[in-house]
Amino acid sequence: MREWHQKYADDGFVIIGVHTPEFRHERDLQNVENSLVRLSIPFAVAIDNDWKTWRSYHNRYWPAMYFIDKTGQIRFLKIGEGQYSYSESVIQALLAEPYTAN
Amino acid sequence: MIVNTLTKALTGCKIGGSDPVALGHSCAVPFSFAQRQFVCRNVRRFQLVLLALACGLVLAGCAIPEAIPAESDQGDESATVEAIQTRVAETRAEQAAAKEESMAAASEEAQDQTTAVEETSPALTIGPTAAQQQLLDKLRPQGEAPELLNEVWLNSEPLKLADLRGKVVLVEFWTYG
Repeated sequence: MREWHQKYADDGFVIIGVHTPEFRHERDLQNVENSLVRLSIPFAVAIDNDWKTWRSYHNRYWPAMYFIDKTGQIRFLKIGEGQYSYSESVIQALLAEPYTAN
Repeated sequence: MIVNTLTKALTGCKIGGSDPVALGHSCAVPFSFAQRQFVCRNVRRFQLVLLALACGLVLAGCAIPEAIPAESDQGDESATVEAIQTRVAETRAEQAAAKEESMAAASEEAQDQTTAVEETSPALTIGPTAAQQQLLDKLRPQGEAPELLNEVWLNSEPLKLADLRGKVVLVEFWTYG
């Protein structure tokens, strides 16, 4: 994830981490901030303590990655770890896709 | 060579033929028929063992070709050695050819991989490659991504997907725990 951010941020790729806590101690903002430092996470993180975004996505898993194209459509959902090289080729393809603003 | 020596020993002895007791000093002593039979049998056995050993050595010579050239330096250029040397040379030539072939195959493979990498690398200005277009065709739109509803953000001002049109966005649900 960190690598993807570094490689593709300049090409128009945005990573948003939505932090939805599973346990009570994960709701503590300070703990999340510490973990960002510890894991050297450079991208934007939304704090979803009330599970609002989680619910609107009908999400049920950690981790879950939604790959959204330039028009705002979900094109690929990756649940769980692994398949990183495929996911990266998805990012590259979506970046290469032509886009004309409406 | 050893094989020749053994063959000479076998043929020179003239044993196992008409008069096996012509060998050695003991042959001068007259034997009874039973004794002659016994000696004859044992000599034949010995002969067989020698033959078996000779065969074994020839086979070993073929199996360990590296050992043969060292011996041939001693000047014994028998037909067997020549045959073995030819075989060794052939085997080496075959091995070299096989190695060359595999190297050629490997370099071809490497070239293919390079081409593949070039194909998959992002070509942002000239649009998707054929492979990328194929992938994009498979990645059908699954509906508009719901808007992000959060007010508290780290590492960034609050973001809205609506403001990110034209960008590829990865939304990842995660928890540090």
